[in-house]
Amino acid sequence: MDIQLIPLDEFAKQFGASTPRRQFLFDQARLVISLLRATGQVKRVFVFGSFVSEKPNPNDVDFFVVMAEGFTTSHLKGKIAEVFQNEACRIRYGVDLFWVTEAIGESHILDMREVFSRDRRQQHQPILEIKI
Amino acid sequence: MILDDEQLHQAQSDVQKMWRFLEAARRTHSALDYERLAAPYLLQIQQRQQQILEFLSTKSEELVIA
Repeated sequence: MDIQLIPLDEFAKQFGASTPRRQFLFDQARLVISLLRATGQVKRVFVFGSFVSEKPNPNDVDFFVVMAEGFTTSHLKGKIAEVFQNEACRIRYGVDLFWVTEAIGESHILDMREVFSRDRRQQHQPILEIKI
Repeated sequence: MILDDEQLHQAQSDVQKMWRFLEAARRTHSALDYERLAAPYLLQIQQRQQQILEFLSTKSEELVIA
């Protein structure tokens, strides 16, 4: 399954500008990406769901994040720690964040990319990778 | 909502993939990290299983009539 790799500024133009709701969610998503980058161990960020559809007012932003092997949340505090706790991240930033580390193995990461390429009605939905 | 057998099989396959993913994550991550990462996948599994159960609790003739 080929996935488009998109720079953050292009992602902003395509999906984060057309409506106030999209502008708000993109700003929140950018904050989450900056917190992920602050760990120094983020490897890949996939985005899927309604935010990368044509829906003018998506509910949230769905991220599937792959961290480096050996990454752990045990020493994280504050806002960075919140990003790795799904409920806190969803409430604070409107980002529904699924994460894992590379330790799980590439085949499982590919499986989840495939799962996230379909919505809950089993219809195909776009999935993109943001260039980190 | 699942509408036909093809979608049913796809949903079952996705649930199995998520189960295997979590089994592997449980082996390869610390207890704290696993607890933090597993929650949204478990919710996805629960939602898709609910859809499977709803489909399997209804006869296809009833869906056509509806």
